[in-house]
Amino acid sequence: MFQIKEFPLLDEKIYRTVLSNGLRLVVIPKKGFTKQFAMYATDYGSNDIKFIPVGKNEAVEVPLGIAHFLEHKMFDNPNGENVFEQFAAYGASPNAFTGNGMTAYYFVSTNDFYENLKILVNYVNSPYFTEESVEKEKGIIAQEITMYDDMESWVIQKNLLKALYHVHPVKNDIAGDVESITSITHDMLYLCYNNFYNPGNMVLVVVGDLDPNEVLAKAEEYVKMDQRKIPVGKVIKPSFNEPKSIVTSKISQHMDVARPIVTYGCKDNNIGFTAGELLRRRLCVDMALELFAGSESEFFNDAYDKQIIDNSFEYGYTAETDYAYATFTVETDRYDEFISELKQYICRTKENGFDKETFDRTKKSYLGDIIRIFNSVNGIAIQSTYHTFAGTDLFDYYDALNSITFDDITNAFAELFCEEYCAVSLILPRE
Amino acid sequence: MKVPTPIQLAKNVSLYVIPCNIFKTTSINIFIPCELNDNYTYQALIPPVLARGTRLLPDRKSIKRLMQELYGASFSSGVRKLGNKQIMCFDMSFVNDRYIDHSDDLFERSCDFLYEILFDPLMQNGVFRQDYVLQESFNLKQQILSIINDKAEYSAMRLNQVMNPGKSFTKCVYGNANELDNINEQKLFDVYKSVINTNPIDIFVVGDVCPDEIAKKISDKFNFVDRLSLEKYIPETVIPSKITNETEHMDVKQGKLNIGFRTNITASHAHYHKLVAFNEIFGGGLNSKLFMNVREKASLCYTVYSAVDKYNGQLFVYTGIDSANYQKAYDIIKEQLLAIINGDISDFEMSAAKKEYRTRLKAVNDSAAAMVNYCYGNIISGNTASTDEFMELIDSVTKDDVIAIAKSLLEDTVFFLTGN
Repeated sequence: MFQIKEFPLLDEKIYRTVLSNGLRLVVIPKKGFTKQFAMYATDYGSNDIKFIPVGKNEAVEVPLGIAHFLEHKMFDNPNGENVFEQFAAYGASPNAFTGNGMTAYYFVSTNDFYENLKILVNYVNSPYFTEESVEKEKGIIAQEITMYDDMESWVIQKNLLKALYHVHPVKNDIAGDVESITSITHDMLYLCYNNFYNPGNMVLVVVGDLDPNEVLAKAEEYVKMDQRKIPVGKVIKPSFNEPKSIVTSKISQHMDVARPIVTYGCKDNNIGFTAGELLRRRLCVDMALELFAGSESEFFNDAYDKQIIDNSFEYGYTAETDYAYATFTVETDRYDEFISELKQYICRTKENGFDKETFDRTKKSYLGDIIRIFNSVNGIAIQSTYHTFAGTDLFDYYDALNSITFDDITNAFAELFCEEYCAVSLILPRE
Repeated sequence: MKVPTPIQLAKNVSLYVIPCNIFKTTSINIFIPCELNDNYTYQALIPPVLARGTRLLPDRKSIKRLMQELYGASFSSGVRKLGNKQIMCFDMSFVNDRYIDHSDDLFERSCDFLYEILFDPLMQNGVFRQDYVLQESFNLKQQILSIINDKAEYSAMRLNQVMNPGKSFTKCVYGNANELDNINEQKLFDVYKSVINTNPIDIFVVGDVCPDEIAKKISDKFNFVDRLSLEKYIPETVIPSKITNETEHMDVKQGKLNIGFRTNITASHAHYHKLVAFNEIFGGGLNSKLFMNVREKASLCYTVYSAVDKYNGQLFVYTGIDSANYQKAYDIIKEQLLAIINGDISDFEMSAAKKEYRTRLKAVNDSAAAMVNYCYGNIISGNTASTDEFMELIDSVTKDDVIAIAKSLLEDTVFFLTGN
């Protein structure tokens, strides 16, 4: 039986239930859309390099990049069938990604949805790793890592996180590094798989012009075909005891770029939020940053007029339960001035606060942003997967937005920036 | 999805309305095609300068304020390249009035805004405001210089340039960096006047709307007068006499090996659908020969794919490899082409290619931007097939057709970006 949550204003519904094996199922019907999208995901990502296996007392540590490696190897099947070929028979396109906190497998189809869903559930439930296939994948992943190493936007972010974090694994690349992946074995893959790919740790999210009850019936049928003998239970993820301080206040690297690129990052030690509170925290800081550095702000316009920044300027806030940071990034020759302007404006804004009228208008525009999410089948599915792991849903945005007050964002901004927790990451052109 | 019959608001002013009730938003895209002629740098500069301010909304703050008032409406402007044309784009989208407890007519207010952006710019001494022009010239120049940061984009651009020396369609769509140091303000304004008053205009509206109402609202606001048409682009047929090899060195860890072929088949060509099917089998899809052999079997790369240039009659292969594997990768890529020429195409490969492509075409209906891109690409390239018609054409392709295309491919240029 589904638990149904309605959002009459937008004419949308979310159907949720838990299957007999413990798997959480979320269905969001989208009438009139051609595409169907199914995402089968586990609450396990690149940050989970230390864990206490189900039924054990001792923590184990695995090589960096193993969650991502595992994602690549899931496409191999015990019967030697090629997953891409199976989907291709119905014209569906499968893909997968690994994040810091989750790994997701999905497909997009426009016909034969249930055949495709069966393939998805079956292949993710059928691990098959051999010494040979694991060795073979190392060349492909090494090229993926090398590709990222040549991307300046990736490198500047990676360096910043290395400057901000002492021990938390978010400081590492999702894919690991060429050395760490070399040490990965098929036994390690099975260890991670067996602990994290158990139904209680996973979700299945389906979006499209579909009947939720039919999705439920088929999903039940497919999960019952599961032949795996894996320990059921919750794997324990130990915390990392990350200190509040940063590692270094400046980190720089030379690359073949046209001009310097600079990121000013702030480690946010106000963490520990979960579920709806985490959602609210993100919205609060996002709004505060928009008021401070958005295209309407004094900082942006002043720095733009002085030609310290241009349209390459961007800012953002990332927050999970156990880490959070804000960043400001721009390509500029005048990176020192950028940093000093930014600091000055942060101080000034802390003293003078924001404009209430601008806050009200920004809030209004966020409402439009929430409505927009429902335009995209892919977007709804991916965001709903994150939400399900976090214990929230897409509609919670609306309530969170309505609950945010002017004082909330003023306080959020005032607390966020503490110079001793900020660092500069710089990419400089080759001489 | 079918290109809608245009409503002619004046000569060479076409309005394409796509009524569609699945989206929560309405979008308006205004395209002004221009030639990639000597004025191309000036043309590239016009959209960012116009976006800085209008007579009534003189700065970025007032524009942003309006967008917020319109419930987070989005507006962007810029240029893009389709074939040998440089297209000025002014894109806007806003939520459907139905989802906001308000009687605002967001469509009308958005139209007013777009009209002001295009036809009522902020002026100073008879030209655009000087500081806006200076800042946007500087920014555009930086944008051009920064193409080098993205090694995949840069190496793709370089392959096209090496393959087509001196051709206007290989010009950087953002203009010439050096020219941006000395922008003549009077000339900029003159180019603007000329383009805005004489070039064709194509307008797309997608959303839960009624075409006649939209036509009336836009007509009443813009009062379009007749405009000139641009010259139809017919790329010349090129038969390479030899394979050109070009290597560039940069401070990179990964090499980019790109190969350019002549197909001499553009989107309006009778065999275009056969080329598309060939490309799916060769390197376009997840079950393609390039993906299966260069990546999955030989483990040489993470990125490998091929893409059709439907405007200029070319096909490109792009890879990211360890530079030491250059020859190995090159040989395996060529082996895949040879395999197709020799008829080594399984029934599975044929059907997978067709089905995957069908899914992609059908999915166009789920995104306003994808629909507009599909239609406008068709209009510019002179292929008016609907997605359904094109699917049927693709389904009709035989193995012999694919072999014939493979045989007709002419290797032209190999471009290699590698470490120092």
